Amino acid sequence: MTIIAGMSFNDYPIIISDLLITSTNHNQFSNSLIPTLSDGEPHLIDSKFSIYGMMKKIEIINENFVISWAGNVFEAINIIESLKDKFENLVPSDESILLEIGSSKNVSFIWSVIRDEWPRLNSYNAEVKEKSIKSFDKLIYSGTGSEAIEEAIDIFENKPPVEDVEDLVVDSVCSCLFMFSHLMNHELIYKKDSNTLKDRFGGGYDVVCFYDGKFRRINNITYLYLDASITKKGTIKIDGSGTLIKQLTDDDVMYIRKINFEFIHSIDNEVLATKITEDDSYDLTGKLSTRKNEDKLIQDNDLASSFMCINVRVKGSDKGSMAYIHKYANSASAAEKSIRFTCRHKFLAFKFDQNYWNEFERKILEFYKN
Amino acid sequence: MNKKDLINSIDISELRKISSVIASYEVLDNIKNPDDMASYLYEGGNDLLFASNENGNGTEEKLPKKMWILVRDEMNSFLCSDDEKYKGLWEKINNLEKFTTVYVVTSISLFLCSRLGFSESAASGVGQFVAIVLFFFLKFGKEVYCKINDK
Repeated sequence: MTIIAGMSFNDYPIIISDLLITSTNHNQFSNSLIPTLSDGEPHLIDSKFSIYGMMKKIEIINENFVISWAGNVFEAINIIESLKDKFENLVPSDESILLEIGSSKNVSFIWSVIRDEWPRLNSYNAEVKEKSIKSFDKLIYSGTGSEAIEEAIDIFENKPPVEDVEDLVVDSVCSCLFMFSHLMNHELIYKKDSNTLKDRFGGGYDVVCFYDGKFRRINNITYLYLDASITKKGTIKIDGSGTLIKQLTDDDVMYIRKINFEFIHSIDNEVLATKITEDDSYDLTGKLSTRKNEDKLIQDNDLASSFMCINVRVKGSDKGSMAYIHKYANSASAAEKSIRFTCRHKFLAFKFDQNYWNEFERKILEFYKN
Repeated sequence: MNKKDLINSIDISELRKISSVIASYEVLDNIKNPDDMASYLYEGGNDLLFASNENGNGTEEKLPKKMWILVRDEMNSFLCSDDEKYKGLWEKINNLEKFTTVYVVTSISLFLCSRLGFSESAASGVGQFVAIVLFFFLKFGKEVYCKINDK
């Protein structure tokens, strides 16, 4: 199953999706096909289906036309190919898009077209729902992951305002990353028993938004999952184990690197040494990704990103995890102003910028103060 | 009309509409020949893949594997030999009102249903297999395709 959604924040359209592809075949593929699962962990979710791999489900057809799909993979891909052939250089009408989609009940589509400088969101298939709620001008979603979107509406409405965000597009993207960060955290903890995988979506997420005059994929995201505890002195201590997932899209190929690590020791509060326990890479070309790539597809010195999504789980608290998201000009700026990762042999070191750490610690303490 | 004209008249985007599994050629690494692709359509073959919007969609009943074997062998013979038994089919194709991919595939499918003893209601299933063979015939070209499939 899947999750796809289209939303507009003050007329800025955003399309999101998960990456998971499932099959009813449950006799094969036991290696980690998605970053949230490890080798040797069960990929058979129940007796009816198993995880098959990952695929991008959002296609930027041209600068003014983006479409996401759900349903039967082969049927959807044929329709996407046909849309690419017909509309590579055109802004289509909704009618001409629907004509290409045809009448299959096995697929769903959500798309956004910028026509006369005016964004429009539309969809195909009866399962699509619409909501008008605070924060959104319009929200359309489909797939069995719909429940997660409904739950996330609360997150969107109740989340603390994102700081240092200059414009609305970044704020909107941060809201989506906030949701993804929590969904992936849940999946990293509960693995095959997570609600996401049980509902047949997840694995990773993708977001495309309209800015600077065209649709663009958010192409540089780091999710960092950390365990922490609050000391008797009322400070934060990072320890236990964690995961770093970096997602980089270049020339329409999405690269993902997942690093699982265990803390060895803190040199001081802001400098942490960890041992890498797992280091997997994936590439999502136009094809379906059904296995890890043997090569490191994202370099050791490029683990920070424009969007830094830190998710902290404080032990002993029933308050869940806290997501801390910031946007930077680029990876180098993120490394300088938030966390610098140094990866050597089987070790990964973190060096927090002093100001970033202070603010990060303050936010965690505030979040968990009760 | 000869085989070259026939092939020139086939539009791959139309074949995709007849048999959606043709997309597997683009999205999967392990689709090397018609048998690999057809296995997503017949019983006991590969299972379909989903990013589904509701439970069980797209899981319509699969076709018998035997149907694939029979259609494949007939198509190989039709495309790679000058057997007299296809004279009637060529006549049908030459007499088509419209020379489109859908008309050609439908004509071939109905001919094969009759020849192989399937009812006309099976033409849609047969058509999906015919589309697969035509897709690879187009991709490889006559010489290579027929050489590979020379029994």
